[in-house]
Amino acid sequence: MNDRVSMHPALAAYRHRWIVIARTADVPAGHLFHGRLLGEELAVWRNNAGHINVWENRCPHRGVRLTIGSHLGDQLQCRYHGWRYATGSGGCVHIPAHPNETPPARIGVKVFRALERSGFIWASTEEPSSEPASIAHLPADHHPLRSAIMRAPAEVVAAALLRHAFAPAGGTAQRIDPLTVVVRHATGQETLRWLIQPSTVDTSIVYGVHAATVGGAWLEAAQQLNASLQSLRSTIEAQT
Amino acid sequence: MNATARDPVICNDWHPVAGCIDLPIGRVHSTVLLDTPIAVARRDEQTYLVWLDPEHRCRHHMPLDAAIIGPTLPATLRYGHLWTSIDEPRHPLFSLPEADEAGRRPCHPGSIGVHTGGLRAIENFLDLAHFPFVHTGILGAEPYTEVLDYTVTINDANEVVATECRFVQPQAALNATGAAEIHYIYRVPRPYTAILYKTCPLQPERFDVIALFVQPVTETRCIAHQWICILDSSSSEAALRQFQLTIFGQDKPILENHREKRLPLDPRAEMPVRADATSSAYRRWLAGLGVRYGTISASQQ
Repeated sequence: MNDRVSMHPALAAYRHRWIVIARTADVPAGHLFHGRLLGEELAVWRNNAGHINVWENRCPHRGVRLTIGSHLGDQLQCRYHGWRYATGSGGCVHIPAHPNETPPARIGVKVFRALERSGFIWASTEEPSSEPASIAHLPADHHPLRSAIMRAPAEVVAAALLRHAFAPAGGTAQRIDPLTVVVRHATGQETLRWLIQPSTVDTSIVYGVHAATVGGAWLEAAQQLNASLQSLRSTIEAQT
Repeated sequence: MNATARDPVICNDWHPVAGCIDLPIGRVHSTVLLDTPIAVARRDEQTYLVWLDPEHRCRHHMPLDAAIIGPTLPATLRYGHLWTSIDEPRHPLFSLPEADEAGRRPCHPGSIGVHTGGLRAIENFLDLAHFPFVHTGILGAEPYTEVLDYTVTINDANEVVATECRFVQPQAALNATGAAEIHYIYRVPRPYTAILYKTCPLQPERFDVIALFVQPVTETRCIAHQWICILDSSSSEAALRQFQLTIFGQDKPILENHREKRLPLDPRAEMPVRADATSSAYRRWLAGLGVRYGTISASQQ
């Protein structure tokens, strides 16, 4: 709710990365999802065709949050003056105060790069260097766990997840990039992956991806992991 | 506090701190003006006191007692409100001659805390284009969204004035009987004060007066004191208050969802169009006055 500030230096290192910002299920059709990435507030929505838009949550006209506006299918309408912005480009397509004029081409919402893969929505605040391993090599058959918000910097969260391991006996945990921890079975098969979203300089969101297991064992494993994650959260927040 | 210290324009100005009807005799009203805790009280019918309360010793509604009165500040009762200044006022309080006209009904609909900077509240008050979207069915309705060109000037008293404003309104006032094109004149005598002169539904040759007096609590919080002085002699006081509070209640969630709670003065920070001529002139005028409190100057962008 504070005035906007430029990006914190501790977050700048993540600028060129693809970072998970929501689960697919968090953004159903017609919904305006209020997200956060590297201190930037996001308005996340999908158009009629299902294409994901990740926009700065700010109407360029008077700076009001777009997430309090209206989803019009292929356009988003600001609640304050009814200005409409087009899916994809974020360009302004209608200004009701001047209904018979074409809006100036320079007026548009700031748009972030977005990808939807493997049940997650990913975004990058600046040109990403490449599609990272954390997207490309997600286990083919997996279950997303409940996400958890932690009041701690992403670096602290990543280190704690690695230390805590969650690894089965004989297994290993490895940080494959600054925001991804992969847990493997003794056989080398991936059982679990943690994806970390640096929301702000001191708040992170952890998404778990659990490799598929047979039958009812999945639910029990997910409940145990959720409980462990909440316990880890308490430990981390007590220390920071 | 730093911004206050840097801003003599605002510190030496008059600011509203309470509506008179909110000040029962012998009770303390505790509030904050420009990051400065103050207390306000009505000692008797004629005497009002305002004093600094740096340690917040005065609790709201406690009995007035000589022992709790700190260093006093200037106090002026006018336009239904008590006005003070945390420094030396450089000007008399702005004039509003209609306040003394016969046949008008002064009314204080209410004072509402808003989690945004006071200049945002003033700018919203000067805005026509939001009527169909925020005050739908009352002050505007689609498809009547167009804002026709109007004129903005700075008058001899160095106030921002917008004239020839017109808008189609379904329910312009409580006593309006249907949609009508309503004529507006806006006047901004001081940075945190705005006055609207609006076609009166029953006496088209005269104007209803609707004023917004904003108390800057901090740079990002304010209390919006409304005051109306209108020609409606038939509506009940309660109905008049309810109408104004309904309108403001529609503005409040918008005001509290500005990403920057302070008003950016750099014209590139937020994209204006022709309909925003008053807003653009207001921001230029604030920059020209050197107002810092509650603003984001070009260099801070």
